[in-house]
Amino acid sequence: MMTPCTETIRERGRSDERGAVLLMMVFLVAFSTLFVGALLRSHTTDLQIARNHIGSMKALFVADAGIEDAIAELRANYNWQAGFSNKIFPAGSSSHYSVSVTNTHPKVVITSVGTAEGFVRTIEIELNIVETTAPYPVRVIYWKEV
Amino acid sequence: MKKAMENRGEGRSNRGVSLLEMILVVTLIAGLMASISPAIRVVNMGWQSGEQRLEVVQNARIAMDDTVRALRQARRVSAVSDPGASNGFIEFYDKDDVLQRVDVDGASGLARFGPVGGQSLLAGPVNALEFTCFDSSNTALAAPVAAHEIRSVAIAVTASDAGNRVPDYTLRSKVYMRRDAAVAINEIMYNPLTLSQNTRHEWVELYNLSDRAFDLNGWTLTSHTNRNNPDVLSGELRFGSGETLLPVGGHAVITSANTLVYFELLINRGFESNPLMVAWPRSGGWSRSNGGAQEGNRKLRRNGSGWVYQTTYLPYFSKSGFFSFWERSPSANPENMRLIVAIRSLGWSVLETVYDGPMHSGWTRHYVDLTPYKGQFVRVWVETVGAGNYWIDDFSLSWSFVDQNAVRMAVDDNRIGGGLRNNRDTITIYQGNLAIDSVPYDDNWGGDGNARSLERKSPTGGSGDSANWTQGPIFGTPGRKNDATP
Repeated sequence: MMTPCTETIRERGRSDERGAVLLMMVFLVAFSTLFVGALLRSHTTDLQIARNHIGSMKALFVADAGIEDAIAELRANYNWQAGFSNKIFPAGSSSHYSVSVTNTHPKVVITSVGTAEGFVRTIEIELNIVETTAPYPVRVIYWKEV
Repeated sequence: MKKAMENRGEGRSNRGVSLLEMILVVTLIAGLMASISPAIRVVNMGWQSGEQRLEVVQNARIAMDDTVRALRQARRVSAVSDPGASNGFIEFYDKDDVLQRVDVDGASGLARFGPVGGQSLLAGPVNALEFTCFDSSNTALAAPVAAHEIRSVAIAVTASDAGNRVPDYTLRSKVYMRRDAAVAINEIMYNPLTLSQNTRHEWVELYNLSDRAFDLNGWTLTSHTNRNNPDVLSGELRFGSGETLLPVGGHAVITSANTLVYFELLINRGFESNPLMVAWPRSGGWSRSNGGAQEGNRKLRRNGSGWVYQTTYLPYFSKSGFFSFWERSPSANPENMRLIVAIRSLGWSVLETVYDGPMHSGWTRHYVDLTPYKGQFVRVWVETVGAGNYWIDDFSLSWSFVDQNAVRMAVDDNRIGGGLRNNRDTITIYQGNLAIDSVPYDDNWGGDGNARSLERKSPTGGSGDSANWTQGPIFGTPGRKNDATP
């Protein structure tokens, strides 16, 4: 048989525990919300990264084509430094590349900016004109994305 | 007190969570999960879709990267699919001269790359692989693509998802083919020993050091003088067959339109001059007439049967002999007329029949190589048989220091390069707008006004390297290997 003192303490204990489930659920809901929120945020970021990657890949290859075009010009005329401005590639598309050339032969620096579907990628190369007689062979020093 | 504390502890550990509380918690968790599971499912689907799209992009990138890298280093394209063909292929010789191929495997749908017949699967599935080729003027080449004209290749790779769960993805890029030295300026006679008409005796020799033939027709040549008005090359018809295809290891000699490459003999070319016409022994009835000539204003003409001939000596030290002429008849039925043109000895025996047949209603050319008759006197015999009006023009009988096997090219005026300078000049040869070779010679290099040419030692050596050039022999070595070349 419980003593009055013990009964009082136990009654107080039970009344203290009222709302524990609610509290747990509040925490659980909060945690779940945070978890799902983080998941969605992560997913959105991943999707954005993927979208950037997918779109900018096209721009990278367009920039690459600009570099190729510029090297071809240099191999026809080693003094060439006119560059290209918004040259459409491929024909009929909205993609384009712009190429700037700093020609202090034998050293030449070419920068090609490719644009495709709103994305922009830039490639820079440095090359040396090996001979100043046709077909003007060149040696690439570096080829990098900037 | 101690007892009371112990009793309270026992009470707590025995009590636990009530069933009602349990049910409530499980219900709430279930409800929560039910409410967030669609969101998780959407996230999961999006994630998978993203991965699939990236997979497609990666496949396109790998296929494009490998193709671009390989083509960039390739020596030349040997075959390519027609432009617009979605299941395209390209074959090319790599830097080690191994024939490589990029195409799409019909069974797996994957892009393949590797030596022909031994390709490895590269990436995919690839829905379309397209190659569009361009020439040196950046003009798209139509089917069937002439591989030797390819200067650049535009590539389009369309990768797809095996389950068609995400859209196709297309990457495009363009590669300019590597340019190895292909045709080299090999010898120059820029200051020949002549009393007059220096420019008429000048010539430039090209050498094909590549492993494929080049058609030189339409190529251009410049020097300092005519750099803004290049000479256009075409087949030479007075000293050569008109052939313009420079074979592998072949030499081509470029001259002015009326050149004489040292002692070349050109007899009564166009019957424009009366004394030349008089020099031809002939039967009665021949005359020079105005108008309707193959070249210039005058031609040789006769009605009915007759004969005319010319005798010349082909020096034993010459390198080639050549004869050509044009014939035509304005008569109603030229096919019923007969023309005989033969090479005869001084004893009148026929050495070679150049032509024996009917006349043609339009100017028609016939020619024969006289090189086998070096060291002999030969007679060019022309005979007309039967009624009708016979026209003959542009009669060329020559011997030359230019080798028999050389391709003869002429520029479109009487001064090659506008007249090559005797102290220093820069000669450049172009295919379209593409400079193929350029030589900035100086008279200190040799070949300056003493009947000697300027010879290149090594066709693969530097065009502008004075150490790669030296003085050649008297009259040079036009159309054959340089004396200076090992």
